[in-house]
Amino acid sequence: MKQRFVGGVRYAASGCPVRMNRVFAGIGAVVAAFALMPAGIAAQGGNAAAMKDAASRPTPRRSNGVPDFTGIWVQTRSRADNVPAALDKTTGTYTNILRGRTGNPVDFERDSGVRQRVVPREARPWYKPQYWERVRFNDTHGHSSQAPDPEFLCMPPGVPRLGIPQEIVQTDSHMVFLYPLHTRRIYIDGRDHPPEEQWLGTWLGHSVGRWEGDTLVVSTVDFNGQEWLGWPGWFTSPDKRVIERIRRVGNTLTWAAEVTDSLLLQPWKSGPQTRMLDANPMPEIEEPLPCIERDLQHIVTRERG
Amino acid sequence: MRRLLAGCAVFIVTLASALPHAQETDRAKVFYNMANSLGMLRTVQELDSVMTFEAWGRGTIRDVAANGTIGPEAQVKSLYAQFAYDFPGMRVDIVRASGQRTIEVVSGTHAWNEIDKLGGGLEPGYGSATPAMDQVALRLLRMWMTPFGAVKAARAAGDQATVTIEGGRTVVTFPLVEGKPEQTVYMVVGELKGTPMKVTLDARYRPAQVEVTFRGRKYVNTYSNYGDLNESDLKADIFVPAHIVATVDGQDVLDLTIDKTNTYNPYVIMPVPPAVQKAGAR
Repeated sequence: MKQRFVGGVRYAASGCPVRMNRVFAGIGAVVAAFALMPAGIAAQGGNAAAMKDAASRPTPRRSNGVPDFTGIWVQTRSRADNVPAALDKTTGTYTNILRGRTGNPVDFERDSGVRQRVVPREARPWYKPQYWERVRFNDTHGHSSQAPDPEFLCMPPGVPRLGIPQEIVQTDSHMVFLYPLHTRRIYIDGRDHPPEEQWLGTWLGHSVGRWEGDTLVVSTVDFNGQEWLGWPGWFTSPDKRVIERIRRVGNTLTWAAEVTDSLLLQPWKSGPQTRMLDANPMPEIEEPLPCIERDLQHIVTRERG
Repeated sequence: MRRLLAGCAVFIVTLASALPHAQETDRAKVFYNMANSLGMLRTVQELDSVMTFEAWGRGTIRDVAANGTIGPEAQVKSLYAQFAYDFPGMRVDIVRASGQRTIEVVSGTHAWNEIDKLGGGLEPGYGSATPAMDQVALRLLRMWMTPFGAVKAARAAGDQATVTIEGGRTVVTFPLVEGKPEQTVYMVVGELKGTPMKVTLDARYRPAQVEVTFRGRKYVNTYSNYGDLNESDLKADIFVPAHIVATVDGQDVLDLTIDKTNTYNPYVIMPVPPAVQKAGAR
C-alpha cells in the first residue's frame, strides 16, 4: 500500500482520501500531482522475495513467551512504486502524472472515481435494505456539506479504516498502535471493556487484546457512529464492534478485521494486509502533514476520485 | 475549377463520414473497442470498471404471458433499475400509469418479486419477497442483453466468439458461458448456457442490437442515442443508450427512454431473501 498526494489530498493506505492542508491548492497542485495507481493494484505489487525472506526469520518473543510486535511496519512494495511524477529535464515537463486513460486531469479524476468504487461483492458491507439509499447518498455527496466523509473533514478515520498500524510499541500490559496523526492503546493485561453504560462514544473506541496462540485478537467497542468503514459512503452506528486479528510471522505482520454492526446484514471483513518490519537498523518516521479542511465550500461537483 | 475542387472535397468528406466505420474483424480489437466505446475500460491498466449502475426512465411496456401471449400496452410512469454484474443481479422497479408497481429481481440462480418496497423482506417492514424461480433464466437473459452485459458476456466467451461484417456492420456472435468470479463480472447463465447471442455494433462499436433466441422465442433489444446520462455534476464518461426498444418474436414489448443514470458503481447489492433461498433449494 502507499500514500500518494493529489491536489493537496493525502490518500491513505486504504485508498481513501484524507484532506490535507491545501498548500498545493489550485492548478499548481494538479501539475505537482503524484503518480496514482488504483490502491488495490498497488497493494498487489509487493516485493515477494523480500516478503518471503522476512517471513522466514525467527519471530522474536518477549520474556513471557508472546510474540513481540514492537517495530515499524512498512509497506511491501518496492520503493520505486512510491516515486512520484518525474521531471523530464530535457523538456521541462513532468511525466507519469495523472495516470488515467490520458494525461487529462478530468480523465484522471473520473477514472479514479469509477475505479475506486469497484469493490467486489464480498468486500462491500451488506447493509440492511433501509440503509441502501443512505449509503448511495453518502457516496455521491461525500465531498459536500450534505454528507461529508468524516476523513474529508479531517476527523479520525476510526477502526478498522485506520488499517494496519504503522508502528507498534509493546509492553506486557498494553500495546500502542501508531498511525499517521493517530494513536490507539490496546490493553492486553486481561481487563475487559468498561460496562456499556460507561461508554463515551469515541472515534477510535476502547480496545482490549488477548492471545490466541501467536495471534493477537483485539476487540474494540465504544464508537461514536460518525466514522465510516470506507470511502464509498459506508457509514456506521455506535453499535459497531470490531475484532482485529494480528499475527507476526518472522519479520512480517498480518492484520485483518471483522466488523459487526446493527446496520449490517452480516459481518464485514477488511484485509488481510501484510507489512514487513523496517529493515533499517535506525528507522525514522517522517512527521505527517497536519490535516486542515479548507475545500468544502469551494467544491462545485459531486465527482470525486 | 476551385468551386469544383471544393465541391469534390465536400462530397468526399460527406461520403467518408456516411460510411460505416466499424469494419474491424480482429476479435481482440473488437472486444477492446466494444468495452472502450462504452467507457468500461479505466485507468492506465484499462480494466473493466463497470460493476454496478442505476438507471431511471419511462416509456411503455406490454406483458408477455408464459404461453407467449402479449398483453395490451401500458404506460411506464417510472422505471428504476439497478444492476450488479458481480452478483450477478438486476432489480427493476416499474410503476405503471395505473399505479401498479412491480419489482422484479434476479440474483445469481435466484429470482423473486418484491412487494411494496425494495428489500424483499430482508428486514421486517422492508417489503416481502415472492419467489419467481421460473423467471431466473429470462431475467438473466435480460441482464446479459444490456449493453454492458453483452460486452462482458462476449469477452467471457473469448475464443468461442466470432466476428463478422454484415451489411457493413460488425457483428459479434458467441454462446453464453459460465464464468469464474471476477471483480466486475461473474457470469451466471444457468439454463442459458450455450445459447447464442448476436450483437450488432454501431459505427463506434457500441451494441446497437442484441438478439437471442431462447425457448423458441426471439428476443431483440435495440439501443440508440448513447450518452453519458449521469447528472451534470456527476459525469463519468460511461455511455448508456437513452432509447431502448425490446421485441419478442417481432412484437414490441418495451419502449423505454432512459432519463438518468448513475454509472459511478453505486452501492447496489442483491442478497437473496431467506424465503427465496428456501424456494431455490427445493
